[in-house]
Amino acid sequence: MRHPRVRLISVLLLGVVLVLQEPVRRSAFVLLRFPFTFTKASVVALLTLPRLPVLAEENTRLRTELIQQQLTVAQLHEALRRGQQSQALLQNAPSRQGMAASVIARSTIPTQQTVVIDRGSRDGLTMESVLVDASGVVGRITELHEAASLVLLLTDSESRVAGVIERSRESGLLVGRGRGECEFLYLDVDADITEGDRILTAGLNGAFPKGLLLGTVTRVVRDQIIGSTSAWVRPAASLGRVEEVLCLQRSP
Amino acid sequence: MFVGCLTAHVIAAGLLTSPWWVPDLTLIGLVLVVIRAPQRWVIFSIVAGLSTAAWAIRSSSPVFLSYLLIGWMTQRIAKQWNAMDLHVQWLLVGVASTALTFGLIWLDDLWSWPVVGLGLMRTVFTVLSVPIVRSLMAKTVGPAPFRA
Repeated sequence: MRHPRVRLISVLLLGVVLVLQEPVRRSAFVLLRFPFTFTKASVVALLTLPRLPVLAEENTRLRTELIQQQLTVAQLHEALRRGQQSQALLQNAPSRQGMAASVIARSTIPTQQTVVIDRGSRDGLTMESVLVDASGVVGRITELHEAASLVLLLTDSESRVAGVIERSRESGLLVGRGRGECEFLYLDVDADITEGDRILTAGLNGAFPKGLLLGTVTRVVRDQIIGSTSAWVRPAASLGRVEEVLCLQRSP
Repeated sequence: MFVGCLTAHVIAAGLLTSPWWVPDLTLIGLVLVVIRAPQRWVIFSIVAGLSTAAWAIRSSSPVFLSYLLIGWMTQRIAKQWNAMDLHVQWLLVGVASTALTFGLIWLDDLWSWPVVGLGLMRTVFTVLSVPIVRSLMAKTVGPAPFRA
C-alpha cells in the first residue's frame, strides 16, 4: 500500500500537468514552428521589398482619397444641416409663401444692427418683407436691391414691432435697443407679465403676420410713478449667428 | 494694405456675433495709411467714409464726414508730430475711435450703461489692434519713412 503523502503528491502533480499542459503545448509549438515562421517571414519580406515604392505610392494615394472623402462627408453634413434648417423654416411659417435666403454680410457700424441677404427684387421680395428663422422673427427688409437686400434686425434702435404676450394677451410695442436685447413698452403698471413669457407678433400692421415668436421676457420693470410697465426681451432668433432665413411675402 | 483693412473689417463683422466686438479696422487702416502718405488723405478718407456709409441705414452723411474729419486730423498731426511713433498712433486711433463710437451712440440716442460699456470695449479692441495692423503693414509695404 502506498504512502498517503506519495498519493497526495501524485495527485497534485497530475493536477499541475493538467492545468499547465495547454500553455506548455502552445509554447512547444511556438518554439518548434519558429524556424518555419522565421523563414516564411523572411521570404515574404524579400518578396515585398521590390514593391515598397509602389506601396508607398498607394499609401499616399489612399491618404489623399481619405482626405477627399472626409471633405465630401463634411460637405454632405453641411448640406444636410442646411436642408434640415430650411425644413424647420418652412414648418415655422406654413401659412405664408416664403423664400429661403442666406445672410451674406453684417453691418460694420455697431449702432446699426443690420444684415445683408442674397435675395432682392428680382426674386420677388418687396420692401417690409418679414424674415424669420427656425426660432422666430429676425427682422424686416428696409433696403431693396435687385440681387440683395438690407435687413433691419429686431435689435436695431429703429425696429418697432407690435407684440402680444402669448399667455395673458397683453399687447405692447417691441423696440430694439441697439444691442442683444429689445424692450417691450407701453404696458399697464399692473400688466400680467412675468419672466419667461413669450412675446408674439400682434399682427396689427401689414408687415408682420400674427403669431410669430419674437422673444422671451428676461426682466420686468414696473414703474409706479409713471404708471407703466416695460420688459426686457431676448429675441428668439439668434440674431448674431443667423445664417439661413425665410423671407415671408407680404400679404396683398 | 488699406483695402485689406477694409476687407478684413467686413469679414470680421460677418464672423463675429456682434458688431460691437469688431475692432474698427477701417479706422486703423485710414489713420496708418494717412500717416504714411498725408498728401493723399482726401482719397483715403473718401474711400473709408464711403465703405462705412454703405452699411448705414441712417446717419450716412455724419458717418462719411466723420471719416473725412479723421483723415484731415491725422494728416495735420502727421505733419507736425512724429506720427510714426506707436504711442502717437495709439492716441490718434483711440481719440478717433472714441469720438466716432460715442458720436454714433449719441446720434442714435442709445445712451445706457450696457451700450456705453460696449462702446468702450470696441474702442479698446480697436486700440489694441493697432500694433497688429501696423506690423502687418510694415511687413507688406515695408517700414514707414521717418519724419522728424
